[in-house]
Amino acid sequence: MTAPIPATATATATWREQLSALRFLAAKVARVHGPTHPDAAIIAQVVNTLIDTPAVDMDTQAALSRRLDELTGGFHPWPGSCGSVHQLFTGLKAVAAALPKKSQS
Amino acid sequence: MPCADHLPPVDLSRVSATSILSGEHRVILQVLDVVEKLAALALRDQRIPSEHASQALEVLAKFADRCHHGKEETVLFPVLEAIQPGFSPVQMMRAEHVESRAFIRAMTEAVAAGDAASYARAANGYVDLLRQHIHKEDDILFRFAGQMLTPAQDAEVLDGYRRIEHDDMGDGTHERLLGIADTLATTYGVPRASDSQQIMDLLTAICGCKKD
Repeated sequence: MTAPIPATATATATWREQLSALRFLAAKVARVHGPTHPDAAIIAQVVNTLIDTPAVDMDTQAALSRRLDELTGGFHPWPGSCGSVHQLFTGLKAVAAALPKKSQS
Repeated sequence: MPCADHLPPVDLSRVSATSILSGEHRVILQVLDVVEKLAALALRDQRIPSEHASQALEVLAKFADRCHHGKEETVLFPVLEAIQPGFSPVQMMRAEHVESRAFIRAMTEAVAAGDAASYARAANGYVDLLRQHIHKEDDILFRFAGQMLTPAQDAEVLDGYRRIEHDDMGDGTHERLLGIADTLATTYGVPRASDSQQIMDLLTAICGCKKD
């Protein structure tokens, strides 16, 4: 019988899978809404950086989670924004909730 | 039908009715590479890697068929047929879409039954069919389409794609399926189409709230 997968590993796999889809949404939002919301391009960059961050690097994950919170104003979609923006911010909020909140060191 | 060789290939550097579909073809080819590996594993182990096979089937059924083939069958092809009634390449492509759905059904049934041999047979049949189908569309049909569509018709087709991607599929669905395709590619060591910035730009070009 194989050992159960640790809960932290499962959670990591889940938010990484979510990020895989959010990478496309973030790129779309940056492309379409970048001219009126310059932060959109930075959000897309942070998502890409988060994807590339090693699973063990919790300090960087916590810092990027805080950065996403700042850039999105607490994950509140811009007034009058479209469904793609709402989907992106909702997804980022869920990912941020699964990330470490404080530096481990 | 004249030869398409003298016509320019689809220009992937700009958003158009044909470049959007060619960009999606790169993702479908990526998933076909994964499915080919799943079929080989199923034959080798006499057991279907069912979680990944089901994920690949979701991408094929919803992204490749419902969304991508949907854009072709309900938006692009009718415009081409209105320009040139009885346009034969379109009729052939429609027939191959029907054939591809039979393979998807066969794979789905094989996964449900845990029948590894049937899964591998259907998966390999699907992969062969779709690779040839995509080659025909990219190198023949879309070259003709690029010459046939006026800028106004091209814009009309793009608006139809927007309706399918956002109104029919729903905001975020397209991206969720692309995410699954990329996760599968990473798992099976297949190159991701979205690592090309040009393809990424095409995959994210259509937003429900904006005209291109």
